[in-house]
Amino acid sequence: MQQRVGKSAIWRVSAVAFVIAAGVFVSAASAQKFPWQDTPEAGGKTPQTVRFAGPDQINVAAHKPQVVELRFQIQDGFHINSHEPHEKTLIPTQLMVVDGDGVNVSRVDFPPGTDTSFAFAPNQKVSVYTGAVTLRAHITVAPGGHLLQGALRYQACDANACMPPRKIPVAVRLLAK
Amino acid sequence: MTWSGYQNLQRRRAAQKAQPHVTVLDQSNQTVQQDVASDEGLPNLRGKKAPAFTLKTEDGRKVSLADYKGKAVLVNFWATWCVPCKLEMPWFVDLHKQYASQGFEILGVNEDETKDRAQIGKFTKKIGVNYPILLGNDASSKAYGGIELLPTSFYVGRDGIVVEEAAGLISRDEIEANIKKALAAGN
Repeated sequence: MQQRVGKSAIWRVSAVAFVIAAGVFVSAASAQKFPWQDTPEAGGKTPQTVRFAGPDQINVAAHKPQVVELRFQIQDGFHINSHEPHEKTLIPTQLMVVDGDGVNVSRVDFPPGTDTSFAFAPNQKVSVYTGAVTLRAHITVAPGGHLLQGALRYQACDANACMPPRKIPVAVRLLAK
Repeated sequence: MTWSGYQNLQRRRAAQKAQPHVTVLDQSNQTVQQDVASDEGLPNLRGKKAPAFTLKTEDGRKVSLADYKGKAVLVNFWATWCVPCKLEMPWFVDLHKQYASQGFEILGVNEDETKDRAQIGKFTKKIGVNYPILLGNDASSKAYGGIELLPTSFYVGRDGIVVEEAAGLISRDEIEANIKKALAAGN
């Protein structure tokens, strides 16, 4: 369930799709491991090519809809598919979040990808992210300290090879007054 | 055609030097050490017997590497989400036509997740794939070093020994040279 927001070419995912993207609905209070933990996508032999660049902690206003910018950094020389790749077979970048713990995520805005051609397929345009990528999560938070947590799922390639889809954890401490 | 993979190769090798050994579990859950630093993230199977496997095709037919004894075989790991894989597959189709009469065969081992495998047939039909596509599993990937980069290919001689291996896209000429090497081996 994706909608274009105004003319900004930003894509967003509704809260429903957001939870579906997570695969499961997980209570943050639960002691069980989250769906992206202990899976092949959380491990792997090759190093992660994307890292969560923060923020680690922010102050927010309680009960007020607001936006948290989640920053990611893609390793030089690599690209990942955007949230809206041009081909159905390509794996889109997705954010999965844990619902609960006093944090409600209503939607996430993904930046548009950059149409790029690579030496291995000069006639094919691929919609990708490179370098720094910022997602905007629309949240409402109950008073107190809470953890916004989830995972970014991505599939990276360099100029001549691709790596299997991977997941990296995302966690932001929210202090709501 | 100039390939821009060299810098990537250097970078991957540098990353692997920083992480020279990995721990994997074998089928009996015993911890074994595997050297992946030697070359490009590959398991360095050159000169070794190609690991045996039996996998199913989309229509449920069982295919074993052993079925191709006496032939030169290209074992190609690929996925529908891998753009470089899609570039070399039409080359494989042409090269298979060209060298099949000399005893050359290709086995494509698909690495898509199970839920995404419904699209394999449509995809291979579009490309005109003329060789078996097998549904890979953890055991087959592990046997060939874990397959962390796609495409990854192993060229097996007529005697069942791996003569060449490649991770990432290489040129059509390099692929053809490797096929000739596999055909010449074990005669």
